[in-house]
Amino acid sequence: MRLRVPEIGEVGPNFSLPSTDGTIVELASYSKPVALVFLRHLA
Amino acid sequence: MQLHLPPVLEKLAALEAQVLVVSFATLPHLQKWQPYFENDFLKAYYEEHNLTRPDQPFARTRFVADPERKVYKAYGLGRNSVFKVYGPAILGQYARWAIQGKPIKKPTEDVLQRGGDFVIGRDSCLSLAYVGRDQSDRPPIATILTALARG
Repeated sequence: MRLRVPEIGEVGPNFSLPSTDGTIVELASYSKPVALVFLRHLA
Repeated sequence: MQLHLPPVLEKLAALEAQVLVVSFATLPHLQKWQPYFENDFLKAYYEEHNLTRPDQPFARTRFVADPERKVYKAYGLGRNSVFKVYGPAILGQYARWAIQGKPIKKPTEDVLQRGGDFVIGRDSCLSLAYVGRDQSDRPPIATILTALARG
C-alpha cells in the first residue's frame, strides 16, 4: 500500500486512540492547536 | 524531549497549545515507558543543563498508543530502510549518549518505523507536516512553535 503524507492545509486525519492516563483521545474533539509527535521506537 | 524544556513549555502555555505523543508501542508498554522517559531522560537533561525542573512537564502532553499503526499510516508514515536507520547521524547520537553515560536500552520494537511531526490548527488543518529524511531528522523546535502560533 502506497502511503501519502497529508499536506499543509489539509484536514488532519482523525483518530481515536487510548492514552496512558486511561482515557480515549479523539483528535476531532481535542483542544487545538496541537503538535502530533509520532515516535520511532521508544528510547 | 525538546518540547519539554522549560522555555518551550512556557511558550506552549502562552499559545494554549497541546502535544500528543503517538507511539506504536502497546498501551501497557507505553505506560511503563512514560515514567522512565520522565525520570531517566528529562530529569537527567534538566540537571545536566541546570534547568529548573517544571512541576508538571506533561501538563500539556498526552501519550497515546497506536500499536496497529493505523494512525501512522494515515499520516503517511511507513518504514525506513536499514541504511537510513543506522546512518552516521544516528550512530553518532548513540556514541554521544554512551560517552555521556546515558542509559541506552536495546529497542524491542520495530526500529525501521518512521516518525514524524505534524501540527494541527484550530481549523483542524495541518500547518506543519514534517517527515524526516532519516531517524535523526526532526524539525527544529522553532518550526513547531511557529506552526502552533498560526493557530
